[in-house]
Amino acid sequence: MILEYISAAILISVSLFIIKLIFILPFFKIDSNDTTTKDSGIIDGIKIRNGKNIEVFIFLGSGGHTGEMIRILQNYKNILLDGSNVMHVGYSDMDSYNRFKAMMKEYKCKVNYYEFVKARKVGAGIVSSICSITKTLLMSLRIIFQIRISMLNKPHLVLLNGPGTCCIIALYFKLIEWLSLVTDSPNIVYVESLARIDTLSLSGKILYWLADEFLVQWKELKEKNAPRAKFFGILV
Amino acid sequence: MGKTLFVSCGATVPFPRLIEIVVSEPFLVELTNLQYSRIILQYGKGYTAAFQTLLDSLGSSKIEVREEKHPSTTIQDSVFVTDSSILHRSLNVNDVAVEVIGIEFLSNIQDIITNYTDLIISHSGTGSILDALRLHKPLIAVVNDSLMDNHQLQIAQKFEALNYLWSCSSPNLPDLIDRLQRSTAETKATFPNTYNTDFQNLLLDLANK
Repeated sequence: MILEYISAAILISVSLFIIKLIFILPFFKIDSNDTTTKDSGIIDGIKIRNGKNIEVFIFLGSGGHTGEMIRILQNYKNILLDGSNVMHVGYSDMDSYNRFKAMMKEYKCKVNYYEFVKARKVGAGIVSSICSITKTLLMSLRIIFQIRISMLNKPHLVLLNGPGTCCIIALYFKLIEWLSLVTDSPNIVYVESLARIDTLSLSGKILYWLADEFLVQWKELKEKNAPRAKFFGILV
Repeated sequence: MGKTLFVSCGATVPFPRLIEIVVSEPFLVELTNLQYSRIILQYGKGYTAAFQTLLDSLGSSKIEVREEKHPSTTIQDSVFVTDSSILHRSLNVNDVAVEVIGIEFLSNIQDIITNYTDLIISHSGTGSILDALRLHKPLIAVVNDSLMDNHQLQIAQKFEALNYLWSCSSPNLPDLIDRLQRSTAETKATFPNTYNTDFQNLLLDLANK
């Protein structure tokens, strides 16, 4: 008797999590194209639709990825770099970190930096590789969890544009959304690199299934390989 | 005072073949024919010794290497913001004074482009292309065809098709001289502002969701 109750409870919770999974993944979303939230000024009575007090997470890849990310931030600085915003900045490459820090001298928003350690050292053995990868994965999960808590119930954005580490970051954000009881979307935006004219990058292919908004910068790419993507022209 | 050419190989990977063509006798002669008197090169990390050797080998029947700087063309070193050293040569190319300035990596590249540059020749990385086009300077984009799995050729051809720049599918002297001559005869379309209201609204809506 008790066993039946327990199995029923398990079955119900598993079904609930599956239903939730369907709700949070972007490819099940019906694009309603509704304009009700646009220009209303106030959404759900509390959050005001402006570029202030947003918690923004960005990840700096390296070279070209960082360059495009910095251009996006500067292009949309009214929203992304407002003085009352909080920036959470993930990085794994010191050049990118220095470049970003130099740029941020002009802006007043509060910045928190998080170093994401590269998973595998060249020439490491299998056992030490597995250990270091596991350690890196757990450390990144802790960072993302910490950022997610800070973003809770505040306007927030997660802005990604590659490379590989972004996939893990997006996966963790989605995982936390899936398993948590409060429903509050991670608001992941992925912008595919300008260098991608008609094929998606590997990160793009993965994040196409995870990001809440997926943007490409060339029309051909949307038409050929990313029909669900949004295209507004060159953004960087 | 003649015109200034700015050459950028990007910060990460040097592009020796491009630099060697720009600092070669036929190209320098063509530059002087087109009233250029200064070349500023950002040659990229790890290329300083090779660039020094290149400068040292410059003397020829048409090129005289001068000991002292040309007072009329000299640009102050303090104009360049950089952690690396600045290599400077004053030349007479067919009796025309030409100044060659090489720097490993510039921190104020946009300032140099805005205030001192008439034409840019750069590798075909998106960052360098955007720097040039956003500052509305004429640009010749040269594809580094020795890189594996890169999108430089595609992006250069795409931007050329949109009439924003002249492209070379590989670093070679005849193409580069042809593009240089065309850059003085033709004008290209103005690159539009990439600020986009729809994207801004999308960010706002999503942040407040």
